Amino acid sequence: MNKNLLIVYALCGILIATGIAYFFVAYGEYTDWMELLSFGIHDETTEKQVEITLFVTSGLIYVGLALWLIKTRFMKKLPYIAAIIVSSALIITYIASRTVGVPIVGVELYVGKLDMISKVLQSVVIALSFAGLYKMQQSIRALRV
Amino acid sequence: MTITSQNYRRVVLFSILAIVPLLLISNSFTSYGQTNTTTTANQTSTNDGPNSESIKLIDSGIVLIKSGDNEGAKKSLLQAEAGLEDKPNLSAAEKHIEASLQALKDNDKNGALTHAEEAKKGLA
Repeated sequence: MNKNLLIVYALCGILIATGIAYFFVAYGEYTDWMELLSFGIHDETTEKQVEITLFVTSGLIYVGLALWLIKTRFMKKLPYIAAIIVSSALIITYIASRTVGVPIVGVELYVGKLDMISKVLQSVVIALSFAGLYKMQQSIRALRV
Repeated sequence: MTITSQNYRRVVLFSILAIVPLLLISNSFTSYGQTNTTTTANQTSTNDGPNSESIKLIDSGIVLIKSGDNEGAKKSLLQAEAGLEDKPNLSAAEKHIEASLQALKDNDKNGALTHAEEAKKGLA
């Protein structure tokens, strides 16, 4: 398998793994929410609903990005750029949620294991997307010469 | 076999390769098998202030975390959090209780204790 293909297959694999990580996080938030409700705690409801929606949507976007890459046979720049933008936005949002706070959720004080894993995976997505774009650019240049 | 279906197969393979370490590192599937005791022995605070009930529950949670009873600790901390509902001036303590609960979920005993102590300080 050549290096270019290795990069794109690894990228797709990591995108799907990141999506699955987000589904796990969303499921964790859902179980937390149910526990809170069972103890009569209702003031977290909006926060939990927003978080669950965000995590499920993020998971779906990551799976969608992987399918988009396959559908375009890894030859279009747009899915790579989208992967970089989505991952960067989510990393920035996460950092904001642990420092200055984000609307509705406020400041969260704990950095969980699954959080760290998803941030590492997102960083790898960004790196591999840039590598994929670079390799694509190299191939286009080689064809022009 | 089309190129696209070959691509899908390879992507599935790489996804599995990426997911396996994720599952190994994460403790998402760890079941909390501890007994569900509700002992409140060795409580360290007997504050009579307006938040004394919540402080007692956090104390109980701390004792249970130290004894390794994560389920019992979770219950105590959730009860303490329920006592802080509709008290926006105590939201910092509430956030620390939530962080302690998250740490418990990750089996992070030190993190759970640290945040439970911080929550108690916020109520004192």
